Amino acid sequence: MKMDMNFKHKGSKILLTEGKNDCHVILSLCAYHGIPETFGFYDCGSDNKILKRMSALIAGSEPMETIGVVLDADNPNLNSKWESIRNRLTREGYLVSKEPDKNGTILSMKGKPTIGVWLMPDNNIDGMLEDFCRELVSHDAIDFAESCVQNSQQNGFATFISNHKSKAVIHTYLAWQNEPGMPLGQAITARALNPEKKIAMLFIDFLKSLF
Amino acid sequence: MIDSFEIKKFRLFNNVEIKNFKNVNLIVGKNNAGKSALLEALLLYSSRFSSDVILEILFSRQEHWESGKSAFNQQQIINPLKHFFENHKIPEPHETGFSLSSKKNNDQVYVKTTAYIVEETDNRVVRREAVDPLKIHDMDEDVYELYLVAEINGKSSIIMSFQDDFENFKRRNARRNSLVLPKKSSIGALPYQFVPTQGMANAKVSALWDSISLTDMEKEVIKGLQLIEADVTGITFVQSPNSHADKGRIPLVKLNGLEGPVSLKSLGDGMTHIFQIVLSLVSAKNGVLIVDEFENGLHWSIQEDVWNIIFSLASTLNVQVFATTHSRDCIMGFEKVWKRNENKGSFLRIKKENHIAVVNEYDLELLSDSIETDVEIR
Repeated sequence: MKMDMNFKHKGSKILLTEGKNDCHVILSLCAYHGIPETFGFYDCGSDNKILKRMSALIAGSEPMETIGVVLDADNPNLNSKWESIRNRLTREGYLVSKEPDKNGTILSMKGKPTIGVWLMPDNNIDGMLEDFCRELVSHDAIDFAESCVQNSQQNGFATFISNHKSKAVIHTYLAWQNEPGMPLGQAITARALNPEKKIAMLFIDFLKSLF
Repeated sequence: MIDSFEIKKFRLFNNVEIKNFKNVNLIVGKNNAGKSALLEALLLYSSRFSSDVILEILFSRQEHWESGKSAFNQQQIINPLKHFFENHKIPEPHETGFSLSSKKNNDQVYVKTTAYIVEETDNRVVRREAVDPLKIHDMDEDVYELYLVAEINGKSSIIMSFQDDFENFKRRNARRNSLVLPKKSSIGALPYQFVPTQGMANAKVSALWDSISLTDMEKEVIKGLQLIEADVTGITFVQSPNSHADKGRIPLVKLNGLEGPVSLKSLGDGMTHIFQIVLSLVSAKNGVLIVDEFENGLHWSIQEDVWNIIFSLASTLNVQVFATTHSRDCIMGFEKVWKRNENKGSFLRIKKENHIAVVNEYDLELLSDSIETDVEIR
């Protein structure tokens, strides 16, 4: 991957993300697994902007080889998110299955860019980047972090909105790691999040087959 | 209105289908991708292959230079019309020609080579009988004559004989000799106006002005000029004492606060361009307006206003507009106005893939998304 920390890569092989956090997590995983720098990141800023940019790039005048998109399966859920992707890709002439592939969806069409879609966390359940990261932690530790979060809620200390519970849990866990309070990507590099867990391997396999 | 358009074996178009044309259509694409060829196809189609249009196109492309007969074989003259055909080659009678059609309108112009046996009867009526292309090889070359023929919805009309000199074709056209297109091939022909990249000839512009001067359309043209110069109150054409009559007359405008008129040209290229566009638009009532390089000389800040006038006049006067551009500002202005006139616009890009032109049609949402996410569309 191209190390452009603005994450506004312009090239024919590109991975579109919702935000910088996604870029850092994926970048750390790629570094750990030695994925060659064949593609670059583009931080679109939101799920909706990913979808718009994806359509625009497919139709655009700059020839694209591969467009990967990493989206949270939320807002509100996996099914609706897949439906919007499917609608857009169908309009651009792709044949898209009714449900996403559990290993990440890859679509090839003659004369069009190859499309890869990964829905966080695992192309199967509703969730987001933080639910993916949660799977990189041992069950005992993450369960403990979750009970801490519940405890704080019961004591009236929590102000986060309910959609953000998995964010609260993962960052609670990261609060006790060395060093405390690392951002997600850095936590992978520091092995506070384990990049060899099954979900990470699946995601890396997806990137390898896509790019 | 041309609702859809299919081009087969015309110039670099092998087989292209444009599914949706609307009232106002914007076309983009890199240099030499086929934008002008598409405009030409639309002009030829709308005019039913009129000799005016044929000559205008060949001259503007400077493809008329090698006209003349080959000394060796009467049937194989070098004809500039060959450039209209795929691979610059005039088809043999048994080969497929090119076609320009609209499926949605169920309308086709098909141009091909046909062999005829020509007979002059006693009362000097010339009769032509088409020869079966498959039998041609068994025939003596003196027996038949080859013609370029336009088949319009199944009805054939001769464009020119290949034994004829292209120079004759030009001369005949100049004399407006109706023998060029002997049958009434202009059935279904639409009024058209064409604003080429280099602008229109003075004589043409002044003639158009004469046809709308002192009508309500004159006001529309002035409104167009006011987008650039709010003080314009009137236009007139005068014979310049220093120019030849055939160069046409010169447009002058009256500006608020100035005692005498000033020449339109002195107010900048954008002024002349917008004048020609709006004048052509109001002169193409119930027909087609074609503008090559719409943005020529126009500042980015007024493009949206110009599109506003175009959409509105195109709708009122029932004119279908086709324009090309290289400018992102022009596209952005177009998109804003298209949003306010949802079913009235279309946008497409032409590109070349393996030497063949292909078309990519955008709907409004896709164009808006591309502009919003700053992805290249040109």
